[in-house]
Amino acid sequence: MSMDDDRELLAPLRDLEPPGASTVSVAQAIRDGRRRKAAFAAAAAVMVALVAVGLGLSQRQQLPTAAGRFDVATAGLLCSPRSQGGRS
Amino acid sequence: MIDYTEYVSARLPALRRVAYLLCGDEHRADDVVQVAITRLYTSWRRARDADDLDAYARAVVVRTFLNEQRRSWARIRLVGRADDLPPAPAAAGPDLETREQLRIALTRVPPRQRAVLVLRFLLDLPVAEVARMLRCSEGTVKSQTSLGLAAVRRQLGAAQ
Repeated sequence: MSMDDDRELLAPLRDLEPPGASTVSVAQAIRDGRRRKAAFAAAAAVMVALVAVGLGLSQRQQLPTAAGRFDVATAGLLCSPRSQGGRS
Repeated sequence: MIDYTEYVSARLPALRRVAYLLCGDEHRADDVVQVAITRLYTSWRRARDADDLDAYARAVVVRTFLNEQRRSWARIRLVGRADDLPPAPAAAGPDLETREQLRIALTRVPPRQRAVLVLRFLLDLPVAEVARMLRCSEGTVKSQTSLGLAAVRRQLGAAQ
């Protein structure tokens, strides 16, 4: 079968038009489109908020903590003039 | 700058015809066009900047048709096969009868093959553009064309 035969096969449908009047509404499409855009924007905002909260929580959990107990005696060494590079 | 309402109102008959050729049923065609022009509205900025706005709009209709086909199996079962529907107004003459048989045969071809046949042979689009529109390779378009034509011939043979 050649390309022309194939084209010929479907040729009777070339001038086929929808029989009835259109029920498509451009105004409805605009209303639905606006609603869809608003829903998308809201979903994006919720997503951003969730990511921000998630990042905030993970940052809080990663705050540095002391390795051992705080000891007053050893803490005094840290504050001595020698440790600060001053004269004894 | 082209206005959405102005453009869609002017191109509605052409878009509706594409959908009708794909669906074979005017009510489903109207549903497809309604969804397609809603999608066109949401992506109007991108569509307006496209090289060929008509091709863009047509692609939206074709993809909407294919998506609806994938999703609406329940509705198809409720409505029934296209040939179970009440017959179209009486075909006056052998040409119209042939056309009606062909229309029904086309509705029985799998959706993707039907889309390829409509785009290539009824809208005269080149293989490369059909491939771009359906997001597949040119080889796939050619094989789908061959399978689709065989299916139409089979359906016509069974009908006669």
